[in-house]
Amino acid sequence: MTMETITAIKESGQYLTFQLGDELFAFDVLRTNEVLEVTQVTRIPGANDAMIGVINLRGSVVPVIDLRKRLNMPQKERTVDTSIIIIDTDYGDEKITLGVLVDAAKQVIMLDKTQLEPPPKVGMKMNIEYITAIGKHDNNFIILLNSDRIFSEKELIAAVEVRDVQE
Amino acid sequence: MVETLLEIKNQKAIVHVKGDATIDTIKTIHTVFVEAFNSGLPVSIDISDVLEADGSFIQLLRSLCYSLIIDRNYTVEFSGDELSPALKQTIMDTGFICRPECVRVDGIKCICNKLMNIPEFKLETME
Amino acid sequence: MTNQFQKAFIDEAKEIIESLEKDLVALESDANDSDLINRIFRSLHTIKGSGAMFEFMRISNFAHELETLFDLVRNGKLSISSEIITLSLKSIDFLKDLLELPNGSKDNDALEQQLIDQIHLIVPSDRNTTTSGGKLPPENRNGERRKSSVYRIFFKPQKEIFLRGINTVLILKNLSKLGKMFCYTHESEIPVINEIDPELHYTFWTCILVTDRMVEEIQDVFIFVEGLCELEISEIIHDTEELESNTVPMIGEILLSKGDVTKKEIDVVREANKRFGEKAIELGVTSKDKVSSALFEQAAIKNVKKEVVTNIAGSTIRVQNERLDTLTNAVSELVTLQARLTQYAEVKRESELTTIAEYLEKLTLSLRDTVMVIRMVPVAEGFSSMYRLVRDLGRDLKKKVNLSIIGGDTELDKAVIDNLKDPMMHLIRNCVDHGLENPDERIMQGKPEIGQVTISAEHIGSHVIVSVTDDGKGLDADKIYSKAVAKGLIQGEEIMEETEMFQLIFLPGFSTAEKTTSVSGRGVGMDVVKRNIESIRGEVSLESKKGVSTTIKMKLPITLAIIDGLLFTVGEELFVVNISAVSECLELTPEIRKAAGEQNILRLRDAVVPYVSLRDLLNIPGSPPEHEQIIIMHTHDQTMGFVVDSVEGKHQTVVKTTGRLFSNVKEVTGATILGDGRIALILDVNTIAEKVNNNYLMLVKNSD
Repeated sequence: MTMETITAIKESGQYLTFQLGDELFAFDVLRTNEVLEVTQVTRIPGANDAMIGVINLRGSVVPVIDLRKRLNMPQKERTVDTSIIIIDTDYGDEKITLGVLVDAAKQVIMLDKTQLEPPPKVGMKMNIEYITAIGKHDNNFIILLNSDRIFSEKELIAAVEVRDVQE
Repeated sequence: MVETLLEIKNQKAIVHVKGDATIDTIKTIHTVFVEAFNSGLPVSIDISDVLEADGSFIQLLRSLCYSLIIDRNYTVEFSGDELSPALKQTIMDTGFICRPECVRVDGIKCICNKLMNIPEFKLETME
Repeated sequence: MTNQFQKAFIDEAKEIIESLEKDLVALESDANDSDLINRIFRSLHTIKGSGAMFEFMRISNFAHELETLFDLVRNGKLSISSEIITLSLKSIDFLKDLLELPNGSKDNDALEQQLIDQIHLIVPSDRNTTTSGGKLPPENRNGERRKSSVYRIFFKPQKEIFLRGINTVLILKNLSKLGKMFCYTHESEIPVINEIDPELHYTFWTCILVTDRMVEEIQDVFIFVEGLCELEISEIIHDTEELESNTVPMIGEILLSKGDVTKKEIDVVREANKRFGEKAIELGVTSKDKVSSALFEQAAIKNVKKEVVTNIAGSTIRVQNERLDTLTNAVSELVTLQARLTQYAEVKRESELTTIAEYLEKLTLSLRDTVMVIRMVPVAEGFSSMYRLVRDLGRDLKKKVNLSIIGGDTELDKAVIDNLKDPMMHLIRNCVDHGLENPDERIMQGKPEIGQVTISAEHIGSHVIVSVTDDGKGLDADKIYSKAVAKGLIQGEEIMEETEMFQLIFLPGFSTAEKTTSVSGRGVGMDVVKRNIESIRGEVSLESKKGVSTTIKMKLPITLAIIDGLLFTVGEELFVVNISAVSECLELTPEIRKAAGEQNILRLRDAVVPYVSLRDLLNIPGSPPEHEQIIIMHTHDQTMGFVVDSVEGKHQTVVKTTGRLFSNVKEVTGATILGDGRIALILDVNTIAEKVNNNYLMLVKNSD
């Protein structure tokens, strides 16, 4: 894999875990700001499906991405557990605050080097470029996501362009 | 009045100038500068006791400095304490610190800039 | 010991004192005659300066005291009284006595001290020791700055000047007191130590002096070396207005203005692609000393300009961008909050509350307008770096280019200008690289050798049109069309007008450059320019005439921060459009529907206006209410009605960006947060209308 992935797994750190379906995922805690209950999301007509709209975060307009849609997972009704994790992503020269819609936000855990493994090259349902590492915690596997990659402008715009062609 | 002294020490020709360095005394100072130059040794000058100075003295300093550079490829050194305010003022007034580098020889720091010990004095130049 | 020059000084000083006496008496009858006051000050200044030069220190020092007094009068800090006149006349008498005495005599000491004490009684003590020197000219009594000029003074004393008892350092010192001086010392003629005659004067100077004094006052400084030196005083910058501009003369220009090189030589040197100074020396056109002096002059002017600009800021202040943004945001929040209060007051219907809300609204709007004005920057300021860019590009590409900015005082929001810089740079690069022909080619085509690039800016309604024009080879519409086909950007079956073909270059993946050069081909095409402009709610279009010119036109909003909007709902969703595009709102009555029949058109007075349902267009769920409303809007080429559920009314819209992630959604240009915390999307009417038209065209095609 790329250099980034290899260097990334060497580091231990704290991760915010969350659930999508039956699987546990996590973001580097340093990238996350807060977890919100789902409020009213204002839909933006004509946007990429995964980008479900914008919310008012204390006076700022923040885009929200449905992670299920982003990872092409089947849709699920929202529940009381459905949350929006606010994260920061690097967009080259600027930092953008994003909301990520997940089934349920769990907890912040500590993972050290020994608990981290590089993602397997085969057998993953999702693009392994989105994965920083696989973590083991309490006999669970946690997929650590590379938020910069998964929400990169290139990826999102590319997704949009594909959609445009299909129209 | 001026007192001059040429001291040969540690393979250096050290010129001491004390008193007024003006047109009235410039010949005396010139004589000792020439002696120092002709000694063939590196020249160091101590002018911290110069009380009054005019254009003729600054001009002579520049001449010495320039001569050393073109003849031996090294510049004059300074010994002694800080300059008297009067001398500093004269150097300022004559505009001799307009450029941080020697305007005659490339890559040499201007002697007066060195004298004034004001490295930050620099007009921003561009072309 | 009195030499002949000192004697000359005494004679001269006596004359000056005579006229001083006359002026003082005249001043008594007309205490406000500023010409008289200035003349008196100058006379005293001359006595002081030249007295010191010829070592009449006592005279000089005494004249200094009087000068200080009249400096205050001159600056309006002291008004003339009969006491002052009497004291001055007494002092003049004393000066006369001093002139008669041998130099250094200790006579009259008591009288001198008495007079000085009296002067000090009038002059505040902190003023005693300072004169106005070393700083930029002070303001005059009206608080207005007298216009400053920049002079170049070339002063080359004769070699024998020392022997005539003249201390040239003092002359320079006096000169420097007239204003702010930068002094360049020429030392190219100083011989080496073994050859120098230490009593001869080899040094000469070029001084750059910034002053509000008249040229006569500069000449006065040199009065005692008249005939003993080469002196040339030239005004190189006429007044502060020129100083306020940001341009600094080029080395070639300076050397030319000094007569150190000829125009022809400049052209020869410019041919070589090198720093002007280096090349000029290499070609033997001029000397290192002269180039150094010119470089110094350039630096001095730059320095002065910087200072002038900072000084002009006396009536203005500089504020960091972030602080301004913070202020804008705070005001934006205030506007939102005020909207909420107004809304609440309407519901409550309490007269006191309504009054407060109305008053707050007025205040908030005036505050908002003030902040918006603060954010405005003249276009010329924002684009001043383009001159440099054009110059460098011209040099790199061996093309001759002139850039002019028309309507440079047109103002735009700083944020708009900041966002415009990159696209502008790209456009200018394109102009010089692809637009303009080589000089030879231009001459062959009968065009002026020097290519012209023009940036122009003008206000049109709530927009500013900025355009970039070059008088180069223009675009070939057919070539663009076939290239777009070749690249698969269009089918090749479309029938297009020439103007439409030009717009193809804005498509992603299109680049007109046959080969990518280091200048233009940086991986960004016109599509990026278009995207940048559209990200600030602007529009971009291109016009070109083959062989004649190409113009890129950008229509930009004046501000990005706040717009007057019209708020309406469709289903659960809230939207805002810019109210300047709205002409009226109507109810969509059954009559209208009936009259329209199958078509979505309505008759508005004499015009037929098509209308569309925003619900359908934006895929908004839910079913329409019984009474829908139509907002009639002007897009850039037509009038169109938009059917909405309900019009809520005017809304002060604080524009928030929806971010880069939604940059591909052209219909939505931003969002705003309402008083109750809900988000309303700001719609771009033009894009929606375009979309409607395209859909309509597709319908027509499909039905064919």
